[in-house]
Amino acid sequence: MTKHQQRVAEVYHFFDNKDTVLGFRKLLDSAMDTQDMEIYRQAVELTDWKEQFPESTEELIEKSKTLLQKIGKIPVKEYALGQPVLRAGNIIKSYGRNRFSLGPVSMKICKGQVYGLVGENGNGKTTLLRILAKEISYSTGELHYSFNEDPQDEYDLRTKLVYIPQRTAKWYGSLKDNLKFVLSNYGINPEENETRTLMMIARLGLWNYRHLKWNELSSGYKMRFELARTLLRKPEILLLDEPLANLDVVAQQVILEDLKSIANSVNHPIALILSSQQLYEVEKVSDKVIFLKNGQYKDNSELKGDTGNQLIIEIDSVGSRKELLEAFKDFNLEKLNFNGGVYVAYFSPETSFSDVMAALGKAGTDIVYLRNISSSTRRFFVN
Amino acid sequence: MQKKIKDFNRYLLEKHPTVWNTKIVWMLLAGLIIHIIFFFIGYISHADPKSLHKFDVRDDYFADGMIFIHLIISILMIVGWLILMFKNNAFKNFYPVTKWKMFSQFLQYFVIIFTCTSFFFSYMTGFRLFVKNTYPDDRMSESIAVINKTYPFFSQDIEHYTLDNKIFPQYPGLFCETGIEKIDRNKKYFVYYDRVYQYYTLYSKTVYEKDNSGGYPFPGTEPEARFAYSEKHADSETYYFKKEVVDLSPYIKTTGLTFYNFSNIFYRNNLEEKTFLQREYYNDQFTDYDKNSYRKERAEISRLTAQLLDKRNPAEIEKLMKSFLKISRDFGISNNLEAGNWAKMVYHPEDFEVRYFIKKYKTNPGEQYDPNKSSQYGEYGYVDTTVPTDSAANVVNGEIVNDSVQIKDFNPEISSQLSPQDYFMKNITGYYYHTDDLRNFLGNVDVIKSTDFFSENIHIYLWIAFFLATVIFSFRVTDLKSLLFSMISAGILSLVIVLITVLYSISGGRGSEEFFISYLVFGIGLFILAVPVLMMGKFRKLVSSIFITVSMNGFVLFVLLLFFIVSLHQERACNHLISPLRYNTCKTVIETLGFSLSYLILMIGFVFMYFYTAVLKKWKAMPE
Repeated sequence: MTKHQQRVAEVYHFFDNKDTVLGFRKLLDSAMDTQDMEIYRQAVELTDWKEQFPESTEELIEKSKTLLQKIGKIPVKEYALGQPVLRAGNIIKSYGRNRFSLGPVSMKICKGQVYGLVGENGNGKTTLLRILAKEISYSTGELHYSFNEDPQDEYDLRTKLVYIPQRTAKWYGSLKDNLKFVLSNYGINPEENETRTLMMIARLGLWNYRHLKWNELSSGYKMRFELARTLLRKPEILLLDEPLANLDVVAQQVILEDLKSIANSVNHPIALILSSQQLYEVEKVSDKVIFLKNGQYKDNSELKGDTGNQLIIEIDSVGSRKELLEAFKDFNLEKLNFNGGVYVAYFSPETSFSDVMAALGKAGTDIVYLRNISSSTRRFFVN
Repeated sequence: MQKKIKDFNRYLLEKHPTVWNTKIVWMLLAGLIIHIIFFFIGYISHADPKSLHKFDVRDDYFADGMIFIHLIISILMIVGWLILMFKNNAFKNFYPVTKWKMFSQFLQYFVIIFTCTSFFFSYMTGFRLFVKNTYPDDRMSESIAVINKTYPFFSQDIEHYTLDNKIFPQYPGLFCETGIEKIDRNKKYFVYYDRVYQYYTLYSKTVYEKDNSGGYPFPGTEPEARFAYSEKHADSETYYFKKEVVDLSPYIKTTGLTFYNFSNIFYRNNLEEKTFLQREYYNDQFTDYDKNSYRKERAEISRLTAQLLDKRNPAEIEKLMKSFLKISRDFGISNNLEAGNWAKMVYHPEDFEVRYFIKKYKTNPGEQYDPNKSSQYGEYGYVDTTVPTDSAANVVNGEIVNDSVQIKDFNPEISSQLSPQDYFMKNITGYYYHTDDLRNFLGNVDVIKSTDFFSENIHIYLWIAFFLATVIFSFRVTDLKSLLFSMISAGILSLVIVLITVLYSISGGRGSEEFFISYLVFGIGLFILAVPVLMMGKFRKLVSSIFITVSMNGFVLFVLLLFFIVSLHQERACNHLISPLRYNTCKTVIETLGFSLSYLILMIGFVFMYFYTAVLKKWKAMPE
């Protein structure tokens, strides 16, 4: 069974469980992997039908399965994940003496991987992304890219380094025309232009928004259109600055899932680096989380080891420190910090999280929120 | 229709994104429509023949305000176009572009701007086509033949009917001396009031060598007193000298004003005669030079007039006048002439003296007619050069003394006679004919037919389009900030250059400022051009963009400067080379190339822009 067929089987499973929303998105992903215009057209038609009859779930499942059958039959060439698409070595960017300095940053990312870039405001996330996109220069270090085709010149390299800033520029004119303009500039066959554009619109859930004007879109949908424009360029590396800003929690999850599955395409995987403040959401989809504080680089691979595998728990409670200490009296509590909003309790490595929860329950402590952050970069924030 | 436009737009978007983005198809279509409209406006603009009566109609496009409509439409079109085009920018979004794709964008800007700013040509084409259709060459030559034949009977200017105009078929090439002090009183001469005429045969000397001032010198071997007149040719000048007096009494019936004396041409229907069509020329009376160079035509007029008069047939004269007045009506010339009465005024078979005169313009009741006033502007059109000569007055010991000849010696009865001017005023009739209008009309028709509006004006429109295209292109490639900074930088640089030149000039460099400023600008220009090409990485992106923008917009000026420097050196070398006795005839490269220089630099500009796209791509890829 090929990777493609496995994915198709997964989608069947979603539909069998009547999980149509996620299933349909995954269906479109599989459809896109085929690169077959006939499949694209049928997928677009199905999307149109789905939007017209949102209530007809049964029929949608049936139609989707029929299309899935066809999709499964199309052979999809698997992309061999090889060498990293980006390699950065000891990148340092300094803004004059005694002013902000970033790095040294060393990293590499392969296609299909998603890296999250987290950190408080003003700690160099955007700067790092812009350096990686060659938007701004760096002081020392080295930066290498390895693409399917070697770029002919510097401009050609820039066409391959796709960076979406937090505040995207306004689009003028028809949204669809803007998307089609991308494809025609990339020399896509005119017959395929419309189909590919509609397919991308369908995949990013923009079907009902395709006739609107830029000003009529919410900021979330603006980001999605910007993403559609970017993905039509078939990037091998994608650098996103705060794609989750201005999105509600559900929308954040959906777009992260979408990004993850688009980056994991069978035949066109993308190396994806995104910066965000939404730590937990990003951690969920990322292969690696990079934490920047005052320009200094840390990533979650360093978490093991440096604190001796402590159990670290973040507690939001209306109870007092005394109450908490009372509840934890049987544990080997190393320290309990309060940063004004939440408590962070550090326990010795042998302590179990469930025991701590049980103790809190037993003591009847009023808990608003509780999270094990032992292996989360959240530790760096609350530290 | 809307669907077709949509489909076509979609085709362009999918197949030719650059063409779709620049909107060139729609702009050219809109431009074409406006051009057709301007063509029609041009075609009907001078439908009224009276509009061709003014001195020069070539500038009517500007004088009549069409230029304002043109400007408003051009600005609206260009602004509208920019709004549409600026919606998308592949280069700024780092979509793949080739050198050719970028250059083709620039080329399209140029074509669009040129189309949206060159309505003048359509207007003039329409205007010219109207003139060609309405006043075809064969019709005009027929009309001009009639006008020239009727001209002898205009009776508007006494100077046309005096004896010195008379041509004697028996003695071609005679010279009539009218200078009172040059008259040989021992030989036959003729007197009319205060004018004296004496006829001479001529001999000639031709000079081929130019003198220091660039003219052909008077042959020193000949006495100046014998000099009659001279004729210039391409590479020589012929000086004519009076040989001996001829007695023409058998051929002269009267020394007064007679139609037989008339030998003038109203209008030469000769399109090749470019000098005649030149501005400020066709409106004037014929100069002496014209008179001599058109002796043949004058002789022919004189012969035809004599032939007509000798027939003693008033009906034939009236017929001629009738056809002339019909032509005048067609050409919209104001007059109150009526063929019958006019013929009667002329027809005095005993001597055909000019007994009645016609005004050149319509006078208001009570207004005194002034023969020197032009009908057009109420100003003096020309001043008679043949002022009666009453000898030269000299001042000796504080008293005015006439030490030479006096008119009374020739015409003792002058005090009892009526002067020609008084005779004219006494015999002026109420008839008028706007002669200047007719001459302007004929001149305008020929000028419009023969002037090459395209070659004369194309350069200004080409360069407007080129510079606007480079500015828009630089904006598209860089951004508004870079463009504004470039403008400021260019302004400051100009000020600095002027300041340095002034300092140079006052610190002893007077006389060679031209060289100094040229080489200074050359050096600065070379530096500005070199920075983006050779050392772009050494400067910040914004600074580089200023160099790039100035380079793109100033390159053609830099090339022009190179030509200017070459011609400066040529001039200097020429001044050193030539002997002080010979006139400087060196031509600089700018003079040699003429308008071709404009095309040449334009071509160089386009070639530069093509190759410069590589620099632009390199700049765009630069990190900040």
